[in-house]
Amino acid sequence: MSRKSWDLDRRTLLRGSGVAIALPWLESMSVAESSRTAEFPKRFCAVYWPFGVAMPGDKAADRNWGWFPTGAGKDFQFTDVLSPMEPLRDQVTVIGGISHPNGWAMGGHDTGDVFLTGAKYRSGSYLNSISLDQQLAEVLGQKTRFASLTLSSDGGIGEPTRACTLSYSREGRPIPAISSPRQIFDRLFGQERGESAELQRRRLTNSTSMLDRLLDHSRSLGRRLGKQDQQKLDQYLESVRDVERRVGRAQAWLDVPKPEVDTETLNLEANPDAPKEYIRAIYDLMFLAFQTDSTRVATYMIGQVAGATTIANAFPACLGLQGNWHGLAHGAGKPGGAEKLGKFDQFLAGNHARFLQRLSETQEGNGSILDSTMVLYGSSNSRTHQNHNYPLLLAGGRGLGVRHGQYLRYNETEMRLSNLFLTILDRLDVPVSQFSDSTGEFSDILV
Amino acid sequence: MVTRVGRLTCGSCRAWLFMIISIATSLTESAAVEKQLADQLPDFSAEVRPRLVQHCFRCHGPQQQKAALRLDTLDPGFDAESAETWHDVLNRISVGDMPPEGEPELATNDREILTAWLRGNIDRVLRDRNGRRQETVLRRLTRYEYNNTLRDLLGINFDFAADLPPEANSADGFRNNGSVLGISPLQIEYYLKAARLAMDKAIVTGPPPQVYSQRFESPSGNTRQQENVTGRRLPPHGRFPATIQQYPRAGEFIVRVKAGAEIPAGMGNPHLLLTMGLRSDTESPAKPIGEIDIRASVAQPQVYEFRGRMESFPLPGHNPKFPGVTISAINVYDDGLGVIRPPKYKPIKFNDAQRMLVQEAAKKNVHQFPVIAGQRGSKLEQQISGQLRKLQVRLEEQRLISPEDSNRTDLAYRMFDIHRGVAAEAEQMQMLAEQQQPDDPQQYLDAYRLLNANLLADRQQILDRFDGVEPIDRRTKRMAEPLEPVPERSTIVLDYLEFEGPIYETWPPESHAALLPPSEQPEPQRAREAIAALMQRAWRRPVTANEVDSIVSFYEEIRPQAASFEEAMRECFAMVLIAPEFLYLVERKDVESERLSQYELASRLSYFLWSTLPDEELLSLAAMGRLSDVQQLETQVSRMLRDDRSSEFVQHFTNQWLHLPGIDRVAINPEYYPDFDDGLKSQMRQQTQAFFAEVLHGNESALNFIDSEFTMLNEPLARHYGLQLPDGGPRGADFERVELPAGSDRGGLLTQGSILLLNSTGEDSHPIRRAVWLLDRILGSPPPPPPPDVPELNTEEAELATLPLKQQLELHRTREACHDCHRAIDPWGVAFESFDAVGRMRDTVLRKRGKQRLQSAVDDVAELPNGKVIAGVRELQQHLLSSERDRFAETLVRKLLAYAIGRSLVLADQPVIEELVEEFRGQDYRLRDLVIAIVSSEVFGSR
Repeated sequence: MSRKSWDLDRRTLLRGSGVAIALPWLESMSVAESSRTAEFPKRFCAVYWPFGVAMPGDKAADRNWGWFPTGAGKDFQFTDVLSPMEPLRDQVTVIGGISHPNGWAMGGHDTGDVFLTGAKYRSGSYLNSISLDQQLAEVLGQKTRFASLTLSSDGGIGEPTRACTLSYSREGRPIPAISSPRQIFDRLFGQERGESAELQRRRLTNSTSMLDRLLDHSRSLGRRLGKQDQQKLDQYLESVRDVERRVGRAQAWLDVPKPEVDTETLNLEANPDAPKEYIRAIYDLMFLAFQTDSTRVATYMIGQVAGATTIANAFPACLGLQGNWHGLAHGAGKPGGAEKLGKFDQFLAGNHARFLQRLSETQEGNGSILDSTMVLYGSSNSRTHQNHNYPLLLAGGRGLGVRHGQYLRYNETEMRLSNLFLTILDRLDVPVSQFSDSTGEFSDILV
Repeated sequence: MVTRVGRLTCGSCRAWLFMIISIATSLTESAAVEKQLADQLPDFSAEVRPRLVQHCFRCHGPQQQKAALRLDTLDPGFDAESAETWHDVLNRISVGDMPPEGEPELATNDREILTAWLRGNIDRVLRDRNGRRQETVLRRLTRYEYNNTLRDLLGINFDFAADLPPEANSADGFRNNGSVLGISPLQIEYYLKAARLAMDKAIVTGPPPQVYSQRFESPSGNTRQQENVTGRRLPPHGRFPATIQQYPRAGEFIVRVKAGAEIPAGMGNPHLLLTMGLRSDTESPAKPIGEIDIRASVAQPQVYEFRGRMESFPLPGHNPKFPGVTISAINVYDDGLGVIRPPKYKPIKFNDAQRMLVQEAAKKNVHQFPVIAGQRGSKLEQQISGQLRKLQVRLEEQRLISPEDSNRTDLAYRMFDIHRGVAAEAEQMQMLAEQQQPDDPQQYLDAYRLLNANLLADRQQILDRFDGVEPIDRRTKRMAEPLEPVPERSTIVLDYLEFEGPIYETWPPESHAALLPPSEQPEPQRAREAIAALMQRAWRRPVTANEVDSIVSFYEEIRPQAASFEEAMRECFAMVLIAPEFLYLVERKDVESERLSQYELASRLSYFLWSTLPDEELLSLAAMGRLSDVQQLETQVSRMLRDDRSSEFVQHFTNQWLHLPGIDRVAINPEYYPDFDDGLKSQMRQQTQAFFAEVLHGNESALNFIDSEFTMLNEPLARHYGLQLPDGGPRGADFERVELPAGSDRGGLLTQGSILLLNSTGEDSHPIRRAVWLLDRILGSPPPPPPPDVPELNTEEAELATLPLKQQLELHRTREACHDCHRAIDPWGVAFESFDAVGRMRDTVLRKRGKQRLQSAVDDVAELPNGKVIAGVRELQQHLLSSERDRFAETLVRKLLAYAIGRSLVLADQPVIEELVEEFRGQDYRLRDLVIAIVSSEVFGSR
């Protein structure tokens, strides 16, 4: 494995930027000396919100509380909702009119599961396929301590059609999301309390043997089970195998201390009862994960598409905005409704803009982290229950040949979201010939 | 072997009667009977399909698939999948849901042919599956089961499941459903982490750790900045913070609070809540340690003891801004009076008009001075005149004040000022008189009094009015003792609060000795015995030598590298705790019998009723092979329900059946409900759980869930509901059984705050959500989910939003896309319209649109899908009891059974369900009897 020279650069770069990073010392550091082609890590992040947006007509008095901009192409204006994006205008593209055609026949609350997969997802089987982030993580995740980071406000996997995660494995299995800032922090940066390096090393060695023995042991158990049970046990075995691989990875990283991060400005006790602090903490952690190169792939599902069960349903009310999120989305067409939902969407956009801003202000070589990172922000409903015309905002990647500063509108019979995914894969050096139901590339964002 | 098929209700069909006879017949006979039977069933292509074409395919065929249902391509041969769907079709036709209103009705003959064909085929399928019942899929422990199990196994009370991802409910609402309980690498990772963490806690090395202890007799910290800190006396909302600077970072601790209570007549016990967390003067997180009603008197205070583990609480990080951990004792008794702050001095205020009046009156009522020998206007006279003008303003103001004014402090200050003014006047007039008329000052004074007779008399009158007010000099600031009457409240009087930790009764602690008993044996032998002992308890069954070997060989491998015997043992034990035998309820399928083994049965029982592993008694009965005995099962269920651990069953079953945690997802809008205290939400949930527990433990009729003559209440909820109860109702936070006045709306589950709030928008009722909840959770027929791309209501119609809700719903139903489903949904929810979002009764519905406030009268008259008109909740309850009793009974049986066996029910379970429903009905729907019947049923005892 050859380490690229950015490792060396990063040590100096990160100094004094709020992060005291202990530099991963790997033998390839000398290799870096010889290969001077500066190549920065490529990263991907996706953030999703449920229930769609307000879409007042172009002539409506409250048009300014609609999510989509007015105008088109380079000649567009953000409405009040996306106004926090104004300073980032030349680093973002708003996209309208595209969706996953496979989702059209699904229930109005059911498409969160397939936002990053585009799968044909039908009741009964509910078979999903690999999500964009995991496809990327297979490659981008090889060089970091964590292959990817899957987050959501609700945590876990939820249930089919009401997923609490955006990420799906190659087998189409949901990957549980973590929701607690404390837990995310401990995973990324936490030092094992009371465990000496020696003990940690012994435990990792033990883990390999323990998991190996468990696999043997469990296979013999499998023979005593029914067919259905064996499938369940296979899931267990697969997971154990995967953890074995993770243990191997952890052993490789054992000599590299976890980065030390200044927790002063982080609110790790934040929880979804206080959404302002909570959402901010999640974005802060994703930023730190990228900045310290702990992972290069992250997803965050702000809410699950189920008014009755998602923790996020109460978010707008906690901010002093009246009404539950699902109710606000339902009422977006009623008089005054666009403003209410729009104000909340503006708040979300503000948080996202802050995240993008921080990425764009963090220098990496001649550019910023954002220049080699692609960040997708969107929902799988336009108006609530409508699985068409997803509101989407793509940011970053200027260093990867992506151009911005436009509002692109499509006819959904001619363009689909999977095409955008295909192009994202391509820009991030994970080229594939097809992703899900893609029909071609998404060339309008290319230089 | 006898196939058991439950009694179905339709007796009009000859083929069906034949079926019942056929059941008891032998297998060889039954083949012949089947042929005969098949001949007797209506022919599909000749008789059935034409009727389906006529009545069903238009909406459930090639053009449309309403409710995602397509019948024209559904296999008429009843394969495994289609049989389930055909069963639904039969149910819809039987209860009259289909064909829907507005479509041609099925003629009696058509209906009979269709149902005969459906039933005949379903029963054929059931019979074909004889002996091949649906198996319970290998199911892993839920988060809460995992946590309880680890806690009971190790005797360490800690949240071991904190990092495990949360779980979702299955389609039928249950969390313990094996088919939805997946496992992922992330979980394995955290299981291993939790197992090691548990072992680090359970098994110790080295000397006992340092113990910290501290006693507080007064609140600590900068208490002035902190809200509601009232010293050692804690009225409701009062708080006693104690910050410990030196504390352990891990281990069990004890907090002892010595306290008594002052309880005025007619009030409840004060309720002590103890929390621990970061600094107390912010909103920083603190977590509850425990709570209790304080019943001891102040004269004989009692020591209340609480325990917890340090690592369960938020502790300051390294080099924190605010060091120390704060324990707070809070009186959370809600007497409905809110926070009463110590009164602060505020002068009585006058409005502009009053001030004008005062000024004018004071200008008019001016004191006159006698004129002696032309001498006027001495300096002293001017001075007195000025003071008197000021005094007069005070007196004029006094006319506007009532002696009863509640601002006793300002009254006292004012009277002091006035008396002082009067005294000063007397003194200075004496001086003036001596100055003006040195020969006879008395004459001067008399003249003064005469001149001002009216004014002085008037002044006296004012003084008399305020005779009862004791004057207070404002400069003495006697405000430490407030003058305003303080209402008597239930107050905790705290002697001290004491922290001690970490606590170990013995060293090494019990958890250690239980896993690694002291022994003189050599290490390898000791290891083998300890491993076998834990495996047996953790895997909930005897283990084989081979199985023990697999762990022992791991021990042998790692022991040489380990720093100590204990370290190696921790790892071995951790391995036991991530094995599938621990994480899953394993039921072996490689044996002939489909009955569960004794040990498997013990686990099923304990996870059903306790959500944790079986205890000694269950295991020893299993060892003796006596657990499956019907008599024994009944004894065990009764014993287990009496045990405290059965609260796990009450909590988890009600949460999942009724979807109670949804309460926390509804934010109550303070603009609509300014007085609503969010703390009521958890009390509403407790009410529903206490109610379920009452019916369960008293073995009362489950029909009480629909309507009852009693309910469970505590003081805050009784007050919230505005119930007029004899003796004023319950006092305090504990729930008690309360007989309801005749005709009360508060009987049963349906009108409990939890259910009403859960299905509201936080501003108003949500009739659709209430209806869907009722159809799903009580009547067992959830409406299909909304189809894709549901259009929004026509939003350009601004006036739509201003219509009363029932009319909005009616308008909604006129849309083609909405009508089909909502016709059968809405009316069930409209009946609850007399309850607002927080579950209080109302006459009018308030809605706000911007600044507009719209009020309309409650309209809870609804026409049910079958045409019956009901007015309000009482009539709905009566309707449910009279016409939907069977549907409810079956729903409850299904929900309990699904929870008990941890899987979704399928067509093959129908006979057992019907048998259980029959038995349930025969036992007057007694709940505990139903639990016993379920546990004794074949399906519970089988894989």
